[in-house]
Amino acid sequence: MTAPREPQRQKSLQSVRDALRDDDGERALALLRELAAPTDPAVSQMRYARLAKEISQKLNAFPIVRIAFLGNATLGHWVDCLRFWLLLEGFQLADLVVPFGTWQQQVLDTDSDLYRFRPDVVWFFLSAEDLDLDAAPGVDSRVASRVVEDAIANVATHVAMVTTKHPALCLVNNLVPPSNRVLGNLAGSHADSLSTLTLSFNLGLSRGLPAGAAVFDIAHLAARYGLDRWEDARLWHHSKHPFALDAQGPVAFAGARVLAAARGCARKCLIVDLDNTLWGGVVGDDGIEGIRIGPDGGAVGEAYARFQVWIKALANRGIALAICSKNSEDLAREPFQRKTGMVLKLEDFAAIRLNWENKADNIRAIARELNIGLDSIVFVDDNPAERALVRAELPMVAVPELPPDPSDFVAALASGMWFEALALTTEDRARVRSYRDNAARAQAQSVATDLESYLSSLQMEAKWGAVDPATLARATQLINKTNQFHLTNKRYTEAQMQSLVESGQSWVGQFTLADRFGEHGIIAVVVLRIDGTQAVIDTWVMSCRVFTRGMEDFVFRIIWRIAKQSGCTGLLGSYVRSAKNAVVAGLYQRLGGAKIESATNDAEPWWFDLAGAEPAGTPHIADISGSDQMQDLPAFSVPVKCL
Amino acid sequence: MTGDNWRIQMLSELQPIFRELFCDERLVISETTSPADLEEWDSMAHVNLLTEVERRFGVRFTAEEMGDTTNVSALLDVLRRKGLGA
Repeated sequence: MTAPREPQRQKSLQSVRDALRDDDGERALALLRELAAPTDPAVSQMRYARLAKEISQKLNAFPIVRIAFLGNATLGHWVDCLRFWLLLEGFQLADLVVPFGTWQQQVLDTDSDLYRFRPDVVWFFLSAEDLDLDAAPGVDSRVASRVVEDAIANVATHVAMVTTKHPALCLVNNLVPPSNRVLGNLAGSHADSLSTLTLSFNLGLSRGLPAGAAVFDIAHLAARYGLDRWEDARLWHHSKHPFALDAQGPVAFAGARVLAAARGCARKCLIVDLDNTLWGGVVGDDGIEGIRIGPDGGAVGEAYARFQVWIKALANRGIALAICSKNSEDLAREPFQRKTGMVLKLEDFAAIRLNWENKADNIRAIARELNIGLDSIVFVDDNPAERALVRAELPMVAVPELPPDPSDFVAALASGMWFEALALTTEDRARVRSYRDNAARAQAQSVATDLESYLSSLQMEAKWGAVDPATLARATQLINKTNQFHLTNKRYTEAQMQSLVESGQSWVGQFTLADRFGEHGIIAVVVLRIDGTQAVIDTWVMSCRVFTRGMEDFVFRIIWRIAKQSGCTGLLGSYVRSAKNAVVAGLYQRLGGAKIESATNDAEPWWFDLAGAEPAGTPHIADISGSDQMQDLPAFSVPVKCL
Repeated sequence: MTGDNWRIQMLSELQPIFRELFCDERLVISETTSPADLEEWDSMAHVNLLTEVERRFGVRFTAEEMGDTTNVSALLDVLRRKGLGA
């Protein structure tokens, strides 16, 4: 939000009015969001407020937040201002300002306008006078503390009364210290100066409030604005405005951010660029020696270090961090690993995108990886072109302007009030860790998704057939060598294998696999015994080279077909546990088998009903054996005693 | 400039301020224009009006003067007293 000159502002306001005339509430609001800054003068804020009222009427989808204001000041102007800034947060304001001098009655009377209004938020806008916060000079410090406690108790009692009668968030202003002091400099250290009483009150307020209430730190806003400018005695005497009109913008902006946070709408993630954002210089050009960070990097290095300290503190309070930088992986990671003066470490980041792709695409990917909405993200980048691109493509992402001087980065980020919260929980601090865990999970998942496309890209082809003299040696070797993918751990000599082949009661098969990188040769062997209507998987081995490629599914489908073709109605597979074959412990279950009771302890029998649906196999492996394979099956006629 | 001419001149300078504040491009003010004539001229608008006048003419109203300027004529009186165009 740059500050346009007056004629430019007028032109922009006119375009907002034009959008309204065209009934385009959304565009009007977007234009107004571009134009308005919290620090704009009261007259501008009033214009925004008026436009906000009109835009509100056109945008009915925004949720309504009902706020009742309790105080003894003229709040109407400021509430209109708040209405505008709340609209930018996506809320419509329904407001009630209780009449002057009635705040206590409104709270005490169960049938008051306050309760009839059914507020979502009750905002206590009280002053030191309203709370009798004063003590005569010379009074001792115990009396002074008593005065403070009474004032806190007074507020707390009324807040408690509200929350017991009606479930609303109570927002309570703390007190702005006086700009002009009777005791002068001494007021800062004297126990019963109004300054000290105010400070003590503010310190004790949050402790004294009941659950469900939060403090609105208006004292800080006044300090930022400048106490001298904040107080407007003339305005107070004339019309009881609580602070200068030009302070309305900053207070309304802060209020809107805090209220949005109360509704869960604060941002949760900061995505940062690297070069000239986290350090001075471009690591790809200047090298790790040339970039400036920390005291060794001069004033510039110190400024960037201070920015990193700020960002690290954000992470410590639960804001997720991510990197999005146009850089090569190794070069960009090096400073975190080796450069003195760096504050942030790679493990502070829940997601890292280092590539030459479009930043908007990367930000979208980060949002998916961390499982957060784009409207949870703040993106900082020193490059105005990148900022503009992301703003244009991802309007939900907050992209604050960064000033040219890194010394001003902290202020630029902080003044946006992007990460407001009403409380910090242990969950917030744990959230950083949970973002990282989720990211790891998502990465595993994305690996799985990539696995599908990877497997497809392999263009795998399998051939299979009965073991014959040409393949006998290799098949036998595989059975004897394999330990991991071996369901029954049987070992056969070549002679025994030959017998099995010749017996006419088993199908001994071998499978080869090739992909676009080359041939793998024979990688699976199966001995399938046919016993009348039951087929038994006596042996099933597979080379560990081809695990998790879908080969198990391919082989099993062939086993099924052969068993069925041989006239069997049931298929039995056994898992015999060994020290090394845990990898296949769950295989038969995964393939859809039903575990059956076993006489012995060492074998786990699994049964498949061949009347059921044929297993799906795998889409990634093409069967190039030719249909004659199924026709060449030996005739199984003599039942064989099973295992 | 004679008193009357000055007032006419000031009226023409105040008019755009009123038009902008009350969002009415066709608004025409006169010496007698008061909150009774303009529905939106409430106490809040009054403060805004005086703030804008202060800004445009480089003057500052006292608390008392803020209360005294109940219509355009009174506003012109106050401005005259403050030395504008004297």
